[in-house]
Amino acid sequence: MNQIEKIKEFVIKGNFKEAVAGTVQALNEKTDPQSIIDQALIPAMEEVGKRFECGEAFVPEMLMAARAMKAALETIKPYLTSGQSSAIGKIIIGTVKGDLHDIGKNLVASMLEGVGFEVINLGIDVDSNKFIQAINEHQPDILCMSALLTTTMTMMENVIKDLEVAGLRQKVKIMVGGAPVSNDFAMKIGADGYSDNAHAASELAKQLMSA
Amino acid sequence: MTENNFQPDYNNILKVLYNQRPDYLPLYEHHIDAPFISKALGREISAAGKSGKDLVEHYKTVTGFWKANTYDAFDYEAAICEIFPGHGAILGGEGPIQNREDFEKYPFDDLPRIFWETYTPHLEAIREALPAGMKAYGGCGYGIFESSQDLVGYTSLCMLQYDDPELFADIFKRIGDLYETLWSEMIRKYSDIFVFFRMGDDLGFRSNTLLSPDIIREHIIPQYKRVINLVHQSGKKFLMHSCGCIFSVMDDLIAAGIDAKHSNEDQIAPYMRWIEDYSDRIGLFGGFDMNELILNPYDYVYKKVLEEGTEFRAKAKGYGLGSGNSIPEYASVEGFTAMVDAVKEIRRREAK
Repeated sequence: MNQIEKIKEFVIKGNFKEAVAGTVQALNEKTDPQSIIDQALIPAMEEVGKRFECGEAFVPEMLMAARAMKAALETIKPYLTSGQSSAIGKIIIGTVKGDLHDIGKNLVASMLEGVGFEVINLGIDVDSNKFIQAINEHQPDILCMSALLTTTMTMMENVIKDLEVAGLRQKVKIMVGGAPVSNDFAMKIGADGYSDNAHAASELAKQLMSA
Repeated sequence: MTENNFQPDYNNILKVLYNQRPDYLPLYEHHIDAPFISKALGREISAAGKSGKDLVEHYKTVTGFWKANTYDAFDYEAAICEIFPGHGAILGGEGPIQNREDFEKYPFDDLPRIFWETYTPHLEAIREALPAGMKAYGGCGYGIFESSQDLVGYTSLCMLQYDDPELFADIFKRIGDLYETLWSEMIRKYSDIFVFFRMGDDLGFRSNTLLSPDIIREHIIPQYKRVINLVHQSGKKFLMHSCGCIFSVMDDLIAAGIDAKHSNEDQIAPYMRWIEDYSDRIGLFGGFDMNELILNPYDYVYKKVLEEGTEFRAKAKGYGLGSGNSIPEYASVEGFTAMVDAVKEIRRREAK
């Protein structure tokens, strides 16, 4: 097993100390930093995401893998040249106003980071103004909104309307998710996509980037 | 909503726990929020700050609401997590226990005192307030897993499973010890006011369990078993409420001795799956996704509950009808009333 494969395995197993040590060793051996991201970190998180989606891995395994991936990524970042990027796109994510639930949203954020996106996590109870402010500031490719409650999911539609009024709707793709949310609901409120789990969300985000 | 001539009979709903067909279709809710009752009654009700006769009056109002809506029993839980010093991580973030040192110094031994000081007035008030024929169901509120989340935080707990498996195991054992202490006393002192006991512990989310089934089997279900044994030794029955996709551990829960199960969400599985897979072994409550009751007009809810409720009652042995979860503050009175009216109609048709 070469060093890249070893790093991938450490991330899949959620072993962040070995993931970092393996990354340091690879960098010392003059391995291209971008290739560690592309061939070890991203495939590792995709693998964990697939296992999660089909019920072979659970939230703890996903969180452990995400932690290992992030630690390895932080180790790599100083070695990236100006022409290289650790991100395949930029995403803003938040739980909508009135909703204080963040576990599912954070899992999606971890998975998106894991497959190579730069993620700006606005947290919980995020209103339209905060989303708009963040979009203006960070110029993301995608906006992700989460809601756990039947009552708060209606806030997603309000945010989309407010983005239209602010002239920002066409500048970002919009993904929605959360326990009460469905694809029908997503289409009805004018979102670009819906996913019901973290791995599917990362796949959808990649599709939207190339759309 | 007005008072009517309905006379509650807790023995009717108890038949569900024996997995027998009740004489008439019982209504069941995991909980009806006090603000919802306030909305339905058109006047504010709250237990906050009340004691003595005022608290008794409060519970007379609450039980009166349940009775007026033709429930045989009402829910009451003395919420364990809410008396935890540092309570709150169940809603997100980190709890007061993050490492071995935090665990060792956490005041577990003092919790029973705080618990009984907090909840004895409520339990005594309920004893005085219960209408003839009605009892409570519930007992000590929150479950083993929920308590672990409140003390540690879900994300931290997930990490702890790998970072410090010994502490992870010790936390569940210590929570089990606490539950055994509190439940023993609850059963000893208040069996007379509870028709059956219940634990609520949400183990799942939309597509799976929140921890792996193996971890749940190893660390959580054995702690349930301690409580279930206490309940059964007292001659009472035990209802498990658990949200999410928990089919992977249902057989284990049944093997641990649960007598009935509540909670269902349409996005996880149609209710008929619960009936087909489990009604030969345990009683079942629920049937109607909370969102259906909240989002739809009276006529839609009434028709759906009338048709599907009739079918559920015909196919399950022990079955009590209600929402798949609870009636929150934001539920519509219209949807709730439609469900209750449909159940009354099912009873009326059967009585013909």
